[in-house]
Amino acid sequence: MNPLELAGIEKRFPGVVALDGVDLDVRAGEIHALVGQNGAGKSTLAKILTGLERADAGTFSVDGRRVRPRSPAEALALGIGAIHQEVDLVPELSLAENLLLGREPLRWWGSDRRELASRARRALADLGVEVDVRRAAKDVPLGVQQQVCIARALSSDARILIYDEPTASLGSAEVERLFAQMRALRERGLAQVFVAHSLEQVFALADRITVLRDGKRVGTFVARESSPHAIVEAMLGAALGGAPERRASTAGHAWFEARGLARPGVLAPIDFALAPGEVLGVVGLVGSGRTELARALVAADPGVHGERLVDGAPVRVTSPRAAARVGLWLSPEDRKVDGLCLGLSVRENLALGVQRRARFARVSRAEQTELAERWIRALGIAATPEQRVGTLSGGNQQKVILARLLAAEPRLVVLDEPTRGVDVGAKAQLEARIAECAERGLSVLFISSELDEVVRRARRVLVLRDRRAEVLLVDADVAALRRAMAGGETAGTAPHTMVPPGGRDAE
Amino acid sequence: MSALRELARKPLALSCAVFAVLVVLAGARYDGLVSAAVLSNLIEDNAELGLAALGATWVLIGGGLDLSIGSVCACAGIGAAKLIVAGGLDPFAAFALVVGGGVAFGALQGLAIERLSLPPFLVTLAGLFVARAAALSIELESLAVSHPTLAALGDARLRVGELSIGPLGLAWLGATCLCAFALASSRFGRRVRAVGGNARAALHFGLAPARVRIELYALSAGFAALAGCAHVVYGGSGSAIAASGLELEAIAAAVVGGTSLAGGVGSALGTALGVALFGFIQTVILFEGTLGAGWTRVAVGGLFLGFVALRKVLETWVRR
Repeated sequence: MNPLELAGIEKRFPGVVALDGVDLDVRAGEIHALVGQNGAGKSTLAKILTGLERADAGTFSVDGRRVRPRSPAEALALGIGAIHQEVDLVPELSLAENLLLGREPLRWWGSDRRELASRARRALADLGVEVDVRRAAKDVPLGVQQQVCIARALSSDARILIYDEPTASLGSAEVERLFAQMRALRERGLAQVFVAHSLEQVFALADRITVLRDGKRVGTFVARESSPHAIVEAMLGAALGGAPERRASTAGHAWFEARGLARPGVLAPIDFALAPGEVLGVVGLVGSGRTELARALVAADPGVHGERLVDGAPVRVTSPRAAARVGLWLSPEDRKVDGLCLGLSVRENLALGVQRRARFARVSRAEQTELAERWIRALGIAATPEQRVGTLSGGNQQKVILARLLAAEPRLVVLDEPTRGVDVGAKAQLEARIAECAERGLSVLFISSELDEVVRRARRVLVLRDRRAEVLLVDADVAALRRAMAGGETAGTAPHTMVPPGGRDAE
Repeated sequence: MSALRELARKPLALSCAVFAVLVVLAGARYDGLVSAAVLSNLIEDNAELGLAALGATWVLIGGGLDLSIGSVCACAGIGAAKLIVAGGLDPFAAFALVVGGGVAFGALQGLAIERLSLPPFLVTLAGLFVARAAALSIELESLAVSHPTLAALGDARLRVGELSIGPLGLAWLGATCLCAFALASSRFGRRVRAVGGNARAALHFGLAPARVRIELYALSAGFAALAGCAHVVYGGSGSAIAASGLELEAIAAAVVGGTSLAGGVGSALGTALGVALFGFIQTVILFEGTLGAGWTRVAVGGLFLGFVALRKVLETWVRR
């Protein structure tokens, strides 16, 4: 009898079958990975496990007993703890309060703060975390916040832990720490379910892997006897064609140049130049200044210093609107918050992109629809023009942003983590589209934490560290990038060095 | 410099500083302004707003909004007056009844907000209209109340040195202390801060945000009804058209006291300070003598805007 057994789980949402007869069994002392493309049903399954959703049909047993948790509280009472994608603590409460929220030790006059702190400290020490538990959650790093979430679940006697994409917002050191933690908990005999995007992480950690596709279980694989290739094929349901390996060529002279681009206290001065059709990679750890650089370039925040030269002449850029005027467009990191109007349709979102160009002229409804249909075809967006953007998967949302940028006929686009939270298939498509655009002469500033992606697409890679430009690497491999991101790499060139045209293009 | 930085980080400290500067400036200009007698009156005169603002503070910290406070206050006031005058009830019994009614009304609003997933703005706006109409249907004219208990209450004073505080002031100060404690270290207070700070996390933690919010609207309306009772004790009458706009003054006082409109942050002591700040401005204008009552509104509005702007400027400066 396994701690966790699901059989024939079904879940329908209006118009969609999210889960269609899914089976899952998780053993004690096992890390069980749950993988699949976006929309395959991983998140829905995780929500059912943690009591956020209820299955329409099927059986759900904990230690052989049929259960049906109706809320996270009930799931926790059954011994199922959840660690969510965005670390969710209450920012203003202390770590101790967060850890024991709803279960505070009480005295007749209220809660017993000293006891609260000491219990929290014990729970965290149990995980090997040393931190002042009186600090507010918002004041500690994300990794520590996540440890608090785990300690929270464990201190409620959870024996089954559900991790829903726990590494999405962590830096690599924090990921390592989390993994060490999960391995230690495996030794203690806990059953752990790990919903993941990165196969590298899955193979580093999981004992068995269950693959979902279109709401169905494709199969459960023993990690040691399987390979990433096999898993991806199972996820996609087809043999995997090689991703386009050609790098964008660099040709011609720099048309765009940034000199001393900086935001005091946020970003140290950075210089770089871009040729037409060049993809310049930007990498760095979380907090290294990648997003700050992207935002500074289009003056998305006030107080940006430095010069931007377009075709050799300095241009005044004081707002994203002014940046758009000279052909610079940003695809922001958080597409749901900064990038799209989720309540509007695909057509309306695209129309926003051409609005500036149209200025006083009216873009008729027919033109808008035509525009939307053209871009839906061009980028392979799985949507109709009138579909609300909020209902699309992450990959399709990212394509809509890309379409909106391209519809504005830019000269330089800044793509900040365009493939984050996007499934494997859509990632390859996005990458191919970016490469096509570059071939037509568009310059791209490509910011990504997926180093292999950067290495495939960009010949020159700007490495940021501690909010300044560490080094500019040319034709570097992933290992070199990693070393530079961690600091200590010196064998690079000055950030403004251009690759000579025709250097190493033919591959 | 570092003191200024600290100020900017703690809105409550900033309010204290602004208040202190005002007191020093005004005290130098007007004789007898900074005195125990003025402070005593300030406390007694602003108990009604103070009680209402406590309710608003709770709701704001919980991430909600209650626009019905003024109407509920008026309805409770006229209701209590009617119960005493026409029903012959003891004032305390009447007060208990209307506060109970207020709590029930607030809970209903909370239920509508949570069960129907409606925005609090709309539901409590409807509550504003409904409660005002209910007040008017009880009695159109203002209703004078004379009762020995009320007379005794009106005369009662607690003397502490030079200060003399009446029952309303005591009720306000007492309620403020109670709320301050409850917010800081009771289970309910922590739940409210959790729900207001990050409702999704609270749900994941196994709390019931919906229930907490319903309780908050009940609490807010209860405080509004209590403010209505204070109105009756203070003025010796109930009126259906009293306390219009009280909800906005209450919110303004809470914000000046460091409560965030985004939820999760705030304090009862801060709100009391905000109320006192507004009361103090009115006293200053009274001392000026030549300015009409309309000017107090202008001054309060100006001060409020100036204060919020100052805080923003300091915040931006600190972040740099």
